[in-house]
Amino acid sequence: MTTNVPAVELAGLTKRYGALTAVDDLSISVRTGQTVALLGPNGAGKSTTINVLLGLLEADAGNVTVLGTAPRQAVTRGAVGAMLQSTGLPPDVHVRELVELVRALYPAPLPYDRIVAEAGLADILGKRIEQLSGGQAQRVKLALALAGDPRVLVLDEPTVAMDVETRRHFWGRIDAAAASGRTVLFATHYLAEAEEHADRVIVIAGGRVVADGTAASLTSRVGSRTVRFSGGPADYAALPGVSEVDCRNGTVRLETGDVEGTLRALLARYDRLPDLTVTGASLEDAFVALTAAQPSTME
Amino acid sequence: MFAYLKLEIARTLRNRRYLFFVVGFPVAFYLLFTHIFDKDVSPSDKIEFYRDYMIAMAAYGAVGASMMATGPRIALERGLGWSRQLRLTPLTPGAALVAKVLSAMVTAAIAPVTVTVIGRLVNHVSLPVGHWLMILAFMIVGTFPFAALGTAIGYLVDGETAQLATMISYLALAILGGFWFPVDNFGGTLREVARALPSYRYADLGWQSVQGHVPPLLDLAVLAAWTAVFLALGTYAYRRPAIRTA
Repeated sequence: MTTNVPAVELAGLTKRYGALTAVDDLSISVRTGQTVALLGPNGAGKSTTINVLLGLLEADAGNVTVLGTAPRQAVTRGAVGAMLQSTGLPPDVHVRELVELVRALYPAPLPYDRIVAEAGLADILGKRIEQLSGGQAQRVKLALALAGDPRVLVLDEPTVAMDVETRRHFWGRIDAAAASGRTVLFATHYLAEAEEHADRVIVIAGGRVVADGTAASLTSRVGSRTVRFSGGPADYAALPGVSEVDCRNGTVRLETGDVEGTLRALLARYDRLPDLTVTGASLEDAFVALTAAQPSTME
Repeated sequence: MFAYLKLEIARTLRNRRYLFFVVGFPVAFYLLFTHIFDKDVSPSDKIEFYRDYMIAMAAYGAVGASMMATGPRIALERGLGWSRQLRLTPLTPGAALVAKVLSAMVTAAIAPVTVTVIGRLVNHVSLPVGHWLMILAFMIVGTFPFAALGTAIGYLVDGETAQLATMISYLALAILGGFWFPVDNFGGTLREVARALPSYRYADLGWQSVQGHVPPLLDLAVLAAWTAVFLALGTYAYRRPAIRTA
């Protein structure tokens, strides 16, 4: 399904809670089919942005559309499905009944068997909600998010509190949903998830976008590379590009903004540089650098 | 909305504690009182005693059922985030609420139906068909104010507090409404208070119908007034910012 209408369009979104500005003139446009990670420290405004996007909160200013319509309309049409941390499931219901109920609420739901397959519910359909483990309950919530056959899937920290294995399985399902053409927008604390699963990473801090690009472009924006080799202390700080020096246990670590200049100077000075390695910044370094200057506002 | 109504009814009927409370108790009390504590009732008054106590226990079950299916459940589901989960679907909060209230009224109907069947079969309360139908119709539709009160409690207070608030208001309404001891036995002021309560007026719909009388307008007026109060309270509670965003 190709269209020029953006999957998600936030223009000048502002949301205040009393004196706190949780989201501050935020603008983001997501093309259909993209998988976008929303990254940010606690209180950056991720959850508020998502709540506005789903029509759960009213914006104080700005314009928000999902596939060209207002958020609530998009929810009603089944254009957007979501999995939030703040929602839960009721007791005294079987998984099967809950999936059937939510399907029945949508105008053009995903076939029951496909929901079961995509969310991986086959083994828990007969269970009551109160008998489910945390990971199983997340699968049910994913099923409910998929029930309306949404073109846009919004996930707010979907794998929080999952163990490594469960998380890996879960991402397999999300990747499959994205591969079938759905636009996926997810907020996460796990940088590895953003790096591995998103085509685009948007870093939010203090309610504003501080960086927007591929994981690779964000890490390169930080610019710094790490040069390591075995050697003793010396006046490395004078070398071109070097911003930080750390000599410990016979290993020298240099942070440099000019790898080539640093290496030329090192090689000119020493005959040998045993165990020489050069590594780029990680997304984590980028994240820390990008969000460090921003004051966080609220959860 | 129909799908949600269906599921809500199924969920309620699955809850054993609920059924025990709202059907088991009234039936047990009815049998107990009419067969063990009927010694000082003169034989000529027995028919009337069986008949009126049947209505009282039907009312006791129905009032409890409609309040328990709303108050504690709404508070619990708000706490769990189920109401919020539903807001991610096309079902509007208003429709969800209507389904909840209707399901409470439908499941509450079990109490008057069971108790009247026992009254007919075990205690041989004999009435024309029209009277039976009138009793059931009034006693089922008449649960609306109590479902509205439960709903208001469910939005006013959280979790355990809602459970407690529902139980207390239920028992107060039942005792003061004359479900266990006739209001006529109460002292002066208390009797006047009792007569102003929705529980007394609700049971009176049954006490009048059982004799083939059309309930007096005063019953309906008092119930309507209370319904308005409970709806206003519910609307206020529902509109609070803490509820709307949670």
